[in-house]
Amino acid sequence: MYLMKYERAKTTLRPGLFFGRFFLSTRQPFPSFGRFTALLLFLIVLTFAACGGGGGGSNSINNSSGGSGGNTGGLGNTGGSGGSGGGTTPQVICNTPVSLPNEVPVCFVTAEEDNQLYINTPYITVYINGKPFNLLLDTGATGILVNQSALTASGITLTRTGGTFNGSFGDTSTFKGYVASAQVQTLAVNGLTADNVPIAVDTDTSKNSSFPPTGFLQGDFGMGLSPYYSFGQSNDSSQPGAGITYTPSLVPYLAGYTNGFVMQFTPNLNQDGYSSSGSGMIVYGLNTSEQNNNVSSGYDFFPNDSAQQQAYPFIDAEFGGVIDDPNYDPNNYYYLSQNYLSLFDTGSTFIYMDDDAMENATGIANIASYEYDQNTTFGTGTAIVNGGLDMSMGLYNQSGNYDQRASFITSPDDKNLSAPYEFPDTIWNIQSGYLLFGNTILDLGNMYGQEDMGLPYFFNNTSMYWQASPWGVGIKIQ
Amino acid sequence: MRKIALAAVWFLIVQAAAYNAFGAVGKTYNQMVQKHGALAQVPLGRVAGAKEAARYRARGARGYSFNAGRFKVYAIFNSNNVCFREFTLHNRTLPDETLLLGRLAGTAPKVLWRVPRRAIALQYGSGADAVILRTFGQPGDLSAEANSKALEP
Repeated sequence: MYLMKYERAKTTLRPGLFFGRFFLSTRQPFPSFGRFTALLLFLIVLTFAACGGGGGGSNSINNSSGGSGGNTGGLGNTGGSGGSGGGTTPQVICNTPVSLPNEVPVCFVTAEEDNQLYINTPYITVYINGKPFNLLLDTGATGILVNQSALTASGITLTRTGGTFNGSFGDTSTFKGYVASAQVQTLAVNGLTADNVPIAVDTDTSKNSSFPPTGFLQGDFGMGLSPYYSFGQSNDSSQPGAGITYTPSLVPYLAGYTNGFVMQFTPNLNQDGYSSSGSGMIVYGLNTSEQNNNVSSGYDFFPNDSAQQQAYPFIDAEFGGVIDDPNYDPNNYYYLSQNYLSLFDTGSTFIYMDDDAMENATGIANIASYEYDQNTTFGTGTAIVNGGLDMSMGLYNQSGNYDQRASFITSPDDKNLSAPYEFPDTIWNIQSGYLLFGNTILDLGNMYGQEDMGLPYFFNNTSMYWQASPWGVGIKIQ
Repeated sequence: MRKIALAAVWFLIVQAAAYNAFGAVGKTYNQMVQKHGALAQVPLGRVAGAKEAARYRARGARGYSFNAGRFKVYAIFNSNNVCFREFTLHNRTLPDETLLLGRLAGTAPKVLWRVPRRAIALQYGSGADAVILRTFGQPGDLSAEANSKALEP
């Protein structure tokens, strides 16, 4: 554990601002996503949404479709549903293309559907046999999963080329189907195309489907790397599943680049005055058989070696926070931190950590006292933490230094927020913007950790770019 | 003779009902052995977080593991030899809920909370009978845990 003492300051503490040595803020190869830009984009989105009219499935990079209607009143309102299968009107914010080589623009959707909830969830538009589909940009999954209903609605019939499969996500929502082959394109500036890419065609139309047939997102663009964790993996087989050749087959087609992806996030925080004053940068990478470990200036590479970590982007993260408690020490405040293995998970909207990590990240000695709602607690002490906590997360760079850090303040109870950042409890019994923690089975001893560093609500208006990169595989948050 | 036969059948039915009264959570150690064969004792530190393990150790709890189909199952018993927590870790699929919930499987659960695509907590039963089932993970790397708060040491 790392402990650093500071003299007490009577200003609002922002670890990222106070402890500049943890930041690598000078390297900003991409323009930042400023407030004015955010406002401008928001107005553009409003304009698109107002003209959308509730269609059923067309997709574009400025996505005003997927069924969003003219009502932009947010999740608390119910008007304007179309193709998104009920629930609420999807709110979409897209980043500003910056014309990077092989840049794939990423949008973010906030919506509640019959069986899914999207909170500032990143997605990209992927063209399959020439037709566009909105797919979740998901570092917590492997392979490409596309809803058959969406394919059919676009007039695409794929021929089965592999076996059948079925599986589920961590919330027990399900998928099943068969393996097919298709051409996959992305909306990169230079155009990225791969032929004969195995795709897991999801035929699950059950109520508990992971991607309901009428949903805003029509599948999952999994960026994990393990063939044995991919969509299409048979329950009983040790053989690789569908979509597993996405990484080795798609990537080499990407204009000659040999490695996967780089994503850049440019958070525009302080949304509604609640979200974090974010700063700093997080970069991580994955091993692949094709990696060259060449790291361009301005990018860092975080190799992972174990088989499980190759499956998903696990990272050695430092969770830190500030103790600013006069009862603890009237004259000083402290910076606490500890390392935990974490999954950086763009498919998750929450940050999940065990109570040890939480205590270190917040500096609160008995974090269990922050269990705000007894209805959400149970035997293992899992709880949902309300907002207002100083948090920071840092990652090693390849030199073993923590010069990568992002800091933020957790969002408050969203009952205090205005649309579209408020969510009804009726379906989910959980509200957005919280951190989950608990002394759980999920982080035991020498087992690899299950801290899940999601792309959470408090990264409102996050801007992200996916970019095929010659520099090695990496993801960048800035 | 017929009465004896009926009594025997009734006895078997009652025994079967008692045997299936709970899934793993709520079963005694002996019932678990009867169902799954020998259980391998494991250190509490492998089946509980450090703080919990220390608390359980002080209260006479013990940890075990056993195989059920393709799942390796971990179980913790209280000082009365009753299982209060059972879980599976990092499997490609989630286990059938009967493995962890027994007779409560199939009953309508109450959703306590849900993280879309990543985790869910469901309460089966109520009161002292309540068992919380929680699942967590990513496709192909899934964990599940059932826990009875009433039986915790």
